[in-house]
Amino acid sequence: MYKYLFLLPLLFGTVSLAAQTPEYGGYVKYAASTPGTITVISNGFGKKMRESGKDANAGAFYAVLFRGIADSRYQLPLVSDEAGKKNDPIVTGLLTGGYGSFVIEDILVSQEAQTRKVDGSKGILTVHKITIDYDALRKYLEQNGVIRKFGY
Amino acid sequence: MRKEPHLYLAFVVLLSLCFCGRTALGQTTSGQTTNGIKPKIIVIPKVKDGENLKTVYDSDPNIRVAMAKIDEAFLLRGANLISFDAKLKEAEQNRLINQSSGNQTDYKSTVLANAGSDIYVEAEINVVKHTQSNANSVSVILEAYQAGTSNYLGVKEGRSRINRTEDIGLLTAQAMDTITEPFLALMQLKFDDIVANGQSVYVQFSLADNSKYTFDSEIGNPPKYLSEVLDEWFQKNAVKGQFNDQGVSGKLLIVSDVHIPLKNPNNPQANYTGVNFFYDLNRFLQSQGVKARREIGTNNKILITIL
Repeated sequence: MYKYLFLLPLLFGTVSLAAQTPEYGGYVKYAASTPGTITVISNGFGKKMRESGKDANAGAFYAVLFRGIADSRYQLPLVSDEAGKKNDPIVTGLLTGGYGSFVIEDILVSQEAQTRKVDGSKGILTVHKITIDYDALRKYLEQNGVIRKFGY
Repeated sequence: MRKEPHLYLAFVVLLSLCFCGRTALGQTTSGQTTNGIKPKIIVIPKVKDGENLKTVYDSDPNIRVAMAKIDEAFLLRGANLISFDAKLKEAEQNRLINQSSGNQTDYKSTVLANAGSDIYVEAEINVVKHTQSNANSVSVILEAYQAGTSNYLGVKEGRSRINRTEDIGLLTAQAMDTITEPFLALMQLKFDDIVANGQSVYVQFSLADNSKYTFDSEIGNPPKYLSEVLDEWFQKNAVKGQFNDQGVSGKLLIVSDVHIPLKNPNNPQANYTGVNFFYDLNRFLQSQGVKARREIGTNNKILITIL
């Protein structure tokens, strides 16, 4: 029996990794906005195009949620408590694919093979122009108790 | 492997526990519903000293465009909005009644008093003429205050583009588009602060003409000044002991900014208002043998006369 104990650290490692929010560090820049929507230019990186696209979208949503978009009408973040809410299951669900229903448009602007300087990993860098339904996103967060409805 | 079935069992149990833990975490952090309070908001035009609020509102269509825009934005966010137009008409009726009884009236005070709003927003419009380019632009300033205490909740200034148009309403709408969202976001930040630190209430004590007390009268055992007794009560009952003792004279004591809880400490499901705060304060005064009368008791402003 004890010969399988080596599996336990592996198990704990997997679970703790799954519980952490990945880092979203791509460039996110304001492009345009209308009342209720915002368009940003966002970079993504991944081994494949699909992964890179996901990374760009998640980065854009992370910036809208926790950073705010400078030079736009949405310069204040939707969620003011980053430390307290970034591991909220609603937020992690949103950043790991749940963002799809809030994306009005996702245009691939450019792509190029690249070796990342930080860790030397090889992959594809993609630049996306993403339009987000900001009002719908806020309502979703309000309904799920991540942020308060207007008022106190 | 078949020799170690309990190892599989332990593995499955451990895995299940991990998932259960994560699910439970999800229920506590995101499943909660925030049972918040929707403050009542009124948007009014900003007027200079001596200007009549009604005249400004009636004579300037751009003010009405700006106010309609900000009203629309508040409504879209589900705010509890009070119609300025309706309150103005009410104030006008009151003015006619007061005029017939010889009383002076001030539209702003009348509208705010009648509205019973928790928050008021002042909208100011400035039209800038660019004579060299034969064009116009508009700047809009929005300022939000807590009614009663007049605590500042936020300000935003927006500008339209410089356009060769005389349609000031269009420029006003352009200027409003740039600031509506940041203005609401700024107010929400302030609301979050209210949730964390309590809502602000203005309390003023005065003495009745024939009162046997002054604020320097000694009461209780051991004897303490009435002002000191009140000070201690505020320290104990204000959220995190936050209050601003603006000053005390023999006949007047003003506590301009007491932070009171949003929810009733004895019943967290019920809201706690300035009126509830007065009831608690009055019970305390009665326990000290001091009789008091409430002159005004709104959610943000309490005027008390010690008898």
